[in-house]
Amino acid sequence: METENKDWNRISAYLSGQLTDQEKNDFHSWIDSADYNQQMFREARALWNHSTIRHSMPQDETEQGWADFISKRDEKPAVNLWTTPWLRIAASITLLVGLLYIVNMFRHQSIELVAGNTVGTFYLPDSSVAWLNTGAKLRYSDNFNSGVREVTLEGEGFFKVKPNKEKPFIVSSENASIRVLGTSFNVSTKSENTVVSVAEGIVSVHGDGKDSVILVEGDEAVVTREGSVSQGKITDPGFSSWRLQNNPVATRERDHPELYLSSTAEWKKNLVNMSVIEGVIHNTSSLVTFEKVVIKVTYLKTRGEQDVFRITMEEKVGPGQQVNYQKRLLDILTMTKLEKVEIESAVAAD
Amino acid sequence: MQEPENRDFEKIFKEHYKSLCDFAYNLLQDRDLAKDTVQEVFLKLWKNRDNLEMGTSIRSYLFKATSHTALNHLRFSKKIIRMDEEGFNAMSSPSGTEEIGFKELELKIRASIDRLPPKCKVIYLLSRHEGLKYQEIADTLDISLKTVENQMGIALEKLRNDLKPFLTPEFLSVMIFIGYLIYTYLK
Repeated sequence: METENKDWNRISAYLSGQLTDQEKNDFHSWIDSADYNQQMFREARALWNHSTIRHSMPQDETEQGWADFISKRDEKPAVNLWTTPWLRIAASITLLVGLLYIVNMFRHQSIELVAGNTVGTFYLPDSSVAWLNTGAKLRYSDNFNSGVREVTLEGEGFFKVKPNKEKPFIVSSENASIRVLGTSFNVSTKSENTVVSVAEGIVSVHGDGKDSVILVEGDEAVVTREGSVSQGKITDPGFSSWRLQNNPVATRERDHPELYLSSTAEWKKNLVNMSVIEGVIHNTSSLVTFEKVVIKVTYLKTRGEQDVFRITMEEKVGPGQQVNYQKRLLDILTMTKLEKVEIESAVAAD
Repeated sequence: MQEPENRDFEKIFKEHYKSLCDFAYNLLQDRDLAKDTVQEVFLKLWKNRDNLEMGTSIRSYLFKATSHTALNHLRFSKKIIRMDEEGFNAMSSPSGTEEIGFKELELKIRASIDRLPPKCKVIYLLSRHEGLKYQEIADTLDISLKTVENQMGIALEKLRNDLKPFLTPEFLSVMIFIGYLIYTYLK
């Protein structure tokens, strides 16, 4: 592990342009020396190149800022209270308590995700996805991914939990505690009760008392304020449809399928010398299923002329899923080379 | 005596306020905290206006002070990551081109950057977004060069762990292929 740290240091120094020419040569030899090094470098470079997003303030508030500054600058300084002994003692005690508080903060920082007036889509440190309905809050500690994956929920959230048998995922609301290993479920704490609805997988729900139930896909549990748990079938099949409404991410995904579909393809000649393209379409969106994906393939023929054909996928591709495609050309006499593959269009499935 | 000083200061304030707020916001993601940070920086500048050395560039002083103050705020406050329509639409990517399937990866990477430990995050952003050399980062934050080296390594490693599922060789080969197309086009 010690050597791995040095590797990451070296890679990051290279990517940020810190290395001298000699060091760069050494670095290139290091990459060439092992496939694993190459892979590490490729991944790091992809991360570096795609770290482009900047947050910026929505409005220019310079005039207001100047006004605020003037009022702060011209504030009368407070009377010096340090001279009285009582205040000094009080101050020392406060300082001590403050120090203890700060020391405690250093141990674990708490992260709070808040959905404002739209649905929020958040990726947790273990790559699980949490959708928070408007006004909902999710809290977790920065040691989230070390042992147990614990979050605290206020409001309504839908979780798609990454499977990990060694690290149970626990959602705590005011009256209930929900424990999963890897699955998709909805937790609503809108009324005084907590309602848990399972979309996929197995979940165990505990109330404050000794009550607990195990739910599978299609089941629902209600935990009352007093902590008692009851179980039944899901009554409202649209229990997680809130994720699609008032959700800027979903809107973007629906309106720009081309941003969320990527394709990889292999081009070869088969045994009877027909050109064959075999590819995979990945849907990298969080919520939207696409269908009628049209792939445009451009290729070169023997004398360098370009030709184009399209493949229309009838199959739907769900969020996070992929689908294969294949096509053969009846061109046993020509030599061909793939030029490019593009996603021309797609439609959001309802 | 007061008047011209006031006017000069006002000029400096208005010239740099927005860019410093954006810079602080990129680090803190909290509008009020970003504004408070910049206010603190200017108040300090105001108090020390007679002591500033002639040679220092105001911009570089303000930039350093903002990094410092923001880092302190990051360390001692509960991290609040807000996702609402305004913040979402205000995110920008300098690469004007919309590359297929990339936007989502960039969003995920940004989410991961925002989860880095405070010092690590600031160092990574100063390097990646502001293009500072390691020594400049060390000077800006009053830390050692070694710390900067280590933190940069930690940043990349954490990002990679967070995003492992999205960095499959297939996915990467698309990016390299399209990157190659762009490269040949630009040549």
